[in-house]
Amino acid sequence: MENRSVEFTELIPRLPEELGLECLTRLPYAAHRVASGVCRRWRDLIRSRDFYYHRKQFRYTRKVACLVQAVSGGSKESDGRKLVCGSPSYGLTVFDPVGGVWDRIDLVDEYPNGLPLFCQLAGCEGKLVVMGGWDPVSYDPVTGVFVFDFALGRWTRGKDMPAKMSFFAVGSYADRVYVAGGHDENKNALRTGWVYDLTQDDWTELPRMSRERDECEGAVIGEEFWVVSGYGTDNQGSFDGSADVYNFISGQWRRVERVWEPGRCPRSNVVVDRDGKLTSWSGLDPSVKVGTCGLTLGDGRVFVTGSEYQGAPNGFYVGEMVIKEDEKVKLDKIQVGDGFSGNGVVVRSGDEQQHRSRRWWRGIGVGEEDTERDGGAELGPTSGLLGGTQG
Amino acid sequence: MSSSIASSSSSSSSSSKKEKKISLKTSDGEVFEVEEPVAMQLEIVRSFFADNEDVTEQTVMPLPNVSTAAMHGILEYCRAHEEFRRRMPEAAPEEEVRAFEAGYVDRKSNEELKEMILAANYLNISKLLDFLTGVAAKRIENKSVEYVRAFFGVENDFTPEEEANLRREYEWAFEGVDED
Repeated sequence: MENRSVEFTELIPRLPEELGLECLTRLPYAAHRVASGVCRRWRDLIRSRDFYYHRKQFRYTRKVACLVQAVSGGSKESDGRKLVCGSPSYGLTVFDPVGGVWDRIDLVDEYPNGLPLFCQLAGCEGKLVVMGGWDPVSYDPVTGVFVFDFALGRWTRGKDMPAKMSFFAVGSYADRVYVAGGHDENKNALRTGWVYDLTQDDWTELPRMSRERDECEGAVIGEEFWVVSGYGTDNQGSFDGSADVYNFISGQWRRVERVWEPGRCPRSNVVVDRDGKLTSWSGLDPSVKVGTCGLTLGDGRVFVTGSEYQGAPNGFYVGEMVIKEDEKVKLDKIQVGDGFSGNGVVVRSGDEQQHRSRRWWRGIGVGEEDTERDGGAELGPTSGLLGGTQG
Repeated sequence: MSSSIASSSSSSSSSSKKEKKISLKTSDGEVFEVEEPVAMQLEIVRSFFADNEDVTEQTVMPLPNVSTAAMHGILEYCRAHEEFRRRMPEAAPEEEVRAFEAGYVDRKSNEELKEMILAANYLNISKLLDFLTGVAAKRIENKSVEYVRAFFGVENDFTPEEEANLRREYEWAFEGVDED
């Protein structure tokens, strides 16, 4: 270090540039905030899109689970009941499965009362998109779109949704978020679909689906957006067994029959197994019976929440998705960070029946720090309502 | 680059014969006699022997960018992995590998770690390089900004004002870090 007048600052002194980059590339997402406070070069690197793509290329990005959690209500044990009486407000929690780190993302100023109820989450190229939902106080549908950039740790406001929709399906592909189905402000089930382009910050309407699909669920499989189940305006709650499938390349829908158990609510409950087949999170692991929902974290790993029995506190689990159908998933319970188990993280209590009639909700999504898409049969970000039916 | 590994003589018959050794000379002049399969994990050595037909068993390959200390660390790692491979050619005994690697890095100081990253890069041992850079990243996880600067010897070039802003913006990132 005899030469003090260094014109070009190395990322890491004494290490060649590419090796310094290698080290920083391997930093887990949770360490990025500290790293960006080290010096200017680190900050500029870590905040750059190039760094994200570099990490992604070498497979160092990873999926983090984003959960909509009740955050008010003190640090009581989560038995749900308390939350129903006091009205909880909802925040965004991030769980990084690799470091086992729990974290919370501050919300935008536009949502002083917490996230809109039933808002949808989508992970997209290192960003988390929050769209729609109901105002937590007035229960009016909102059309706001907010994008959280994991690299910057900041929110930006996107272009509002083109129409008031609730309980629609979402899926993301490249830098676009697809939405379809749900219902309008008069509770008419929808056949419509839209795509939001994050780069252009613009919405474009898709062709119509084959049928109305209120309370449907979205999944991205390979180059297709699957809009699963749902019901029509005239047959509330009778969930359909079919799916409309949108192909990103052809821009067309096709309809696929018998992919979902008729009558079963698909909200936050659809998982794509390794064979690319749709199945339900419920019953994947017999020890997690109630209110099960989850998401895939890439590399065949899954993140699941649910209770062991009616009334039991909610637990969080990670496991490996097994290929053979009869083996299902082996889940390991994970430690929940302080403040992430208490306040009724588990927005949904064990007692499903009791809450059926209430506006009871929780959302979950693969928020992606990463949107790695390998193996084709990966479930895209899922989000939204779990099991609870509205009204 | 030819893909015929170390040509005909070595790979097929080495197991039956007395183990062949490769001589490697570090920057400070020490000569290491390294078992062939271990030395061949060093890509620079492998290609040297694959590309030069006139090298013999007596050839001492100079490695001017590698210190004796770094060489010891590198060979320890490569020998352990060769051993794992010999015992379980199909799939490495994951738990044992992990236990070995954990103990291995525990004994390395930050300076040693950096020196070995440089050496592993020069010797082109992608697996070790991968492992070491991962270790370096791991060492600064959950640490304070000050710790990370000290660890890598990075100078703080933020103005006091910028630093104050960063702290405000990332307040929570400055809390709950491990003790340095």
